[in-house]
Amino acid sequence: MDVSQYLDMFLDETKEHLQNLNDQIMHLEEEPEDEGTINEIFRAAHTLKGMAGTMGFQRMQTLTHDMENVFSEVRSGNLKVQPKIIDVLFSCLDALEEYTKNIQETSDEGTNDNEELIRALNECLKKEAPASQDKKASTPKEKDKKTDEVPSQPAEKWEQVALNDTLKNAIKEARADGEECYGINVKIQEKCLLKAARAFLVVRTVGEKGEIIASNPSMADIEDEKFDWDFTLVVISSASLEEVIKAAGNVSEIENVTGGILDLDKAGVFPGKADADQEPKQKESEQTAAEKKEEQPSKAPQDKAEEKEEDQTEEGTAATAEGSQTEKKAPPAGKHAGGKTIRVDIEKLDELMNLVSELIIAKNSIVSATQESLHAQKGLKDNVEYLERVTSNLHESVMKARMVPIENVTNKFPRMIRDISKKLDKKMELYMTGEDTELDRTVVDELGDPLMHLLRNSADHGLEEESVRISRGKNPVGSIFLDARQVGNNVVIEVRDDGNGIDVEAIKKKALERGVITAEAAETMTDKELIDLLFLPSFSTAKKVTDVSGRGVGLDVVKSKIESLSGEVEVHSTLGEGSTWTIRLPMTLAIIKALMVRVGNEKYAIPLASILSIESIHRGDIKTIQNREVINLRGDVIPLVRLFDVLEVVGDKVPAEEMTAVVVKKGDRSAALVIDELLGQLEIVIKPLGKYIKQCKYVSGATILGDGEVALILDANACV
Amino acid sequence: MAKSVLICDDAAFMRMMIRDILTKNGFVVAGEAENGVRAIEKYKETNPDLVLMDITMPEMDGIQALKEIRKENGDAKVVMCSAMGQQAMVIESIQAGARDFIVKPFQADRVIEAVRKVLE
Repeated sequence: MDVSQYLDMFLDETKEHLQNLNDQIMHLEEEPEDEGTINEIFRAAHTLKGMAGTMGFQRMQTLTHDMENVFSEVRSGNLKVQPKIIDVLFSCLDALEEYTKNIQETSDEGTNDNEELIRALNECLKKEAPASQDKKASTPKEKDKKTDEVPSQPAEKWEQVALNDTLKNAIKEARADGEECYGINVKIQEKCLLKAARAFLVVRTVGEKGEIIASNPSMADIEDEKFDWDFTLVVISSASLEEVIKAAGNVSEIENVTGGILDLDKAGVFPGKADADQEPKQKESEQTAAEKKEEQPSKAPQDKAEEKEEDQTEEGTAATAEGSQTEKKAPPAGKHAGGKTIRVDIEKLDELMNLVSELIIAKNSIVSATQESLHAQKGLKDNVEYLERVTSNLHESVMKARMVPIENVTNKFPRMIRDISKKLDKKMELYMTGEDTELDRTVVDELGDPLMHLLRNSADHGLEEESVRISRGKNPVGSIFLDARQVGNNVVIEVRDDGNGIDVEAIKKKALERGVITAEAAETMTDKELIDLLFLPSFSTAKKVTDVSGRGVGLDVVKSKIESLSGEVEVHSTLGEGSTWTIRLPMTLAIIKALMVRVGNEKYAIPLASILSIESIHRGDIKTIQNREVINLRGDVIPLVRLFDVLEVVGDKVPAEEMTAVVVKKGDRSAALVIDELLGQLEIVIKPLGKYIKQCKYVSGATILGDGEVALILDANACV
Repeated sequence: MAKSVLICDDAAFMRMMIRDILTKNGFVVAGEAENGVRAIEKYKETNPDLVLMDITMPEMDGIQALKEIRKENGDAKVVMCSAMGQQAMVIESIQAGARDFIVKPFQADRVIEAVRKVLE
């Protein structure tokens, strides 16, 4: 079967399951006894195995199979969860991730058998659960024994079934009542998997036609798979022999069914078999088959049913009246319960987004056309308004479709912090909030690396050694926080730690050493300016380079990455108390609401998100400080930027007593941009300037207006 | 008339695969369910000729769902999908009234054989 078409889906789901396993095993490490978690892990490993097997990735299948074995033992209580097992399991997850990566890149799982891991897994089993190992080893032996028995038996197979007097009498009675007794032999196809279940299905199907009074081997042995490829049933039935044989033969994966009317004189004679061997079987066959059917398989499933019930209550879904049961800490199993979703290629969404953009441009031109035409009919205007509403709803929907929770990247962090903690031998905890905050998919994908870097930075450089923490009276276990939230049209993500904070003096010293700043500059620089030096390329203050971080590439990469996403990154730090890194990102990148303004003869768009207020300024209000024009805005002194001059606009400068200024903000700073006229608010589609005009300080892009005119989009950040 | 089949499996990937196998062989997919609870809902909603039911599923496993569906309709035809090593569960589900079972990893002809035989 060609499975390549399912590859993408396989990869997506595999990643989800691996993430789930990661989370669950983390959880298990804290609460080794939590049954819900154990069940969840078992299930995830099991599903992975099935998927890998179907796709033909055998190494992956083998590894997940052995993981599942370990969990099967844990689940049944034969195996205790120990730190060693957790470590092995994590390594297995890494190996699985490796396979997944290989598959993604080459459509092949690679050739690494991970024998070490498989051995380690089996060792976990061996040490703790000799019983299960025995079972494994014994199965092939069993087979050998049976194959020896089968050949060269002269009598019909159904005549070898042991029948005691009670059964013989029952057969006689049945015949007196007009029923018949048949012996049938069923051979299962050798390619059949789970032949015991297959046999059981036959038993059940035949059982519908009549009563099975005996079998060879016994029912219990059939269910335990203690038979070769065939087995024999003795049935009392009112149906004809053909009907019974046909019913059995109709079951899938049956090679053939033979049978005949049971001759009581011949029956029960089985040459070459010791009585002692048959003794227990004979006893068993005294019970009626029906009884056995009831009793045997129900034993095992009963405990399982209990297990399941608990499982359900833990996941909070059971509709039964088990509510009184005290709920354990619920494992994060809710992910599977997610609503109706379909997977859509991100490219398709991009295309859709592009079309929506075009639609908005077209709409804007209709809007401006109707506004200009004085004679436009009222009906037309209504419809245009309606069109405007629909397009903006459409835009919003498409935007939402592209949004994914940042969870997609943050969920791998707990595991990462755990590993770092072990590697550095520092105790630390990661606390995350707001993982459900949503951002555009493309932004989220890019966000992983910078966040990971900041977290590593906090774990490695931020948090002090345990001894230092104790001497400072801090909790010996360091805390790292990752908080995300939506603020207006932005998403703010904070990475915070309660560690040492940034040593400004150390930065100053290092900057001087490296010649990044001059001694004079160092004296006048504020702490904030000094800290910002950290974002310069190859500026690492780590005293020693560790495996985890501090190899000189880093914060500058974080900064450039975030800026390439139209975001910004800031850091606040108090020496001895910790640092906070704040990342601010726009929620969407393609279409924004903007205020259109006129400067000279040119039109500019200022993103609404960055506008604080619009002020009317009297000439007399303008003061000059250090050769810069400033105004006093409700107690804050903010710089005045005359866009006409800054942008070097062509046109006549009209000096005025009253001026209009748009106050924009960036972080905690703001500036008043002087413009000539406010034109109104508009939804604009951002078009990049292209790579030829990269060095353009005040402009972040361009947009096409309704009338076909091009307006530049002001980069408010650059103005402040 | 083409027979309809309800597919229950927690892996979307598996569902898609089974769906392809079935539709290529002239069956109609009545619906898909990703857990036992949804399987029951979908069963009531679509009343399919046959249900393909995975055993290991979140929320409610396939055996439980099978039992509920059989409670709803004593003639419901359910084929279990299992993996190696789930023999006891397969036997339990046969007891609970499953008509047949298929073992992962699937082979297309095995799926079709099981579906055809049960629908005969």
